[in-house]
Amino acid sequence: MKAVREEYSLKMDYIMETAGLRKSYKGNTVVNEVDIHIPKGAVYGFVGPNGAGKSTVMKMMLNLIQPDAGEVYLFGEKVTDHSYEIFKKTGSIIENPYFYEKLTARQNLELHCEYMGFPNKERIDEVLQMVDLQNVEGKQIRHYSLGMKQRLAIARAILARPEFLILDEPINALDPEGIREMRNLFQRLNREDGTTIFISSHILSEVELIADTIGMIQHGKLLTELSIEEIHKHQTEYISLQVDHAAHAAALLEQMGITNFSVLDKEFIRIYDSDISGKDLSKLLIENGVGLESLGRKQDTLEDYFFQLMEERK
Amino acid sequence: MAHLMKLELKKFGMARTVIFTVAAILFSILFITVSLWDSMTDPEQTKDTFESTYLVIGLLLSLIFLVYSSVLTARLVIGEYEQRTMTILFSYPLNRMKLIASKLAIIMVYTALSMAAGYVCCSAYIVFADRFFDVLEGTFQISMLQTWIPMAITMVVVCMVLSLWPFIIGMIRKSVPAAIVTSLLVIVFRQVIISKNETNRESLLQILLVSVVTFAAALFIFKKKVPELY
Repeated sequence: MKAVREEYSLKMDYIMETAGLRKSYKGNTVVNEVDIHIPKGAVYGFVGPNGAGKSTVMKMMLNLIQPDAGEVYLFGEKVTDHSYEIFKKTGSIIENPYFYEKLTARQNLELHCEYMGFPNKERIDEVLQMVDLQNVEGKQIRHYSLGMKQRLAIARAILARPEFLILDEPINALDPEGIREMRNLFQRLNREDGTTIFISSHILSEVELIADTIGMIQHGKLLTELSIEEIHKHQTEYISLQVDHAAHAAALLEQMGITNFSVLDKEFIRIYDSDISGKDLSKLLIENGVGLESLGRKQDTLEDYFFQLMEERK
Repeated sequence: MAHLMKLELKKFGMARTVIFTVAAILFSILFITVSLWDSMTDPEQTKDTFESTYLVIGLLLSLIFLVYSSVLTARLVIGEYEQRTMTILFSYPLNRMKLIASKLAIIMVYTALSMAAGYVCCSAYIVFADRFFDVLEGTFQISMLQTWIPMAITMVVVCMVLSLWPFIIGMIRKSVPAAIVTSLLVIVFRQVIISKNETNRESLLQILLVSVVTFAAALFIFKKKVPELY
């Protein structure tokens, strides 16, 4: 069975796979038959609302909790209590950034090198610089803000040059500038070092900016797993109208023969017919006394796709 | 394993523990001094004997260092679960059982070494105090060591084994108070057992029995509770 799995993994070049993962707490199923396939070199965005089961899946991937059923394969090897050596090639952030609070940032990173069996301690300076903490490395962690701890957790995760990064909500507590810096850092690691990244977030717009593969989870079930290109194919273009009287505008659209539209509320209308000229549309509305606040061509976001998928699965 | 122990010492620092050991031994000497002084100056009391004083030393050292072993268990093991740093340790390429075993080895070795040091210092103190101030009944004879040394070895071995109980009970609910209270209960339980023995120390059979039960319980906790992070 193992040999078959290895052959399959190599063929597909997956760095990590899960098969039928299931976990329940007190009769409540939090992860249900989750099959994840993370291609080598990918930035895999694992998205879903809070409580969807993202962290539980990630903990099972790192063997921090035992699944009730199912298997995890990392680098083609089944993850068991005896397969801890494979974690030499991984870096991770799970839940919150935990550190030895009385030690300094450098001491914490030195300990990480020791536990990982990573001899190159000069790399510590490099990663501290990457996360912009080089000036506070001598401070005890208990004096760090949550944002600083998050940056340090990222530094620790990438310190031993992992081939595979597992990042659970890594942008939590970061300010907008920090989010952009870390996004750039992850993209650089993926592009230049070939690091495969598995990143979870409930902020779908952020994941959309970085991931090339998306896995969507809700109520412990994986809804879909697609490349971002495939998702873009599903995302429809539309014209967004903001008017002062949506019902009146809708009636005019019907008169014009436009039927493929939806009224979102009293002000917003979406027209899913991209061939319509914006110029003609604005002329029609204004001439008929509809106050036009804005008109623009847009595309569904990942969030839209997620909600669309949720509706379909109901 | 040795490397893991070294890292544990690096993480938690041993300076505070060494300072505590020195302070605990000095406190024991002070306690003995007050006790001897009291029996010498109070006309209603008779002078203490070497034997009874040596028993007091054993009781005092076991009390102090077993309680401190539970404090170390709380810091080195249960604290890591409470602070969630164990999550980080468990995501390293390490054998988790070895990791926890290295922590327990530090606690056991510390208990043994500090008790041995305490015995040496306190015994030397009463011998010298008696030589210069005649504080005890009778005089010290080298032959007394034939009783003292086995008694000390028994005590050190038993306390080293018993220092695992705060881990065993504390890990059930990952509770620091449970670990500390366990150490106190273990001391009381032990006193009840040995008070029934003529020699005031455990027999070889009792030591073996305590060791087997302790290691079996520790093994059970290793399998059931150590991997349980959440």
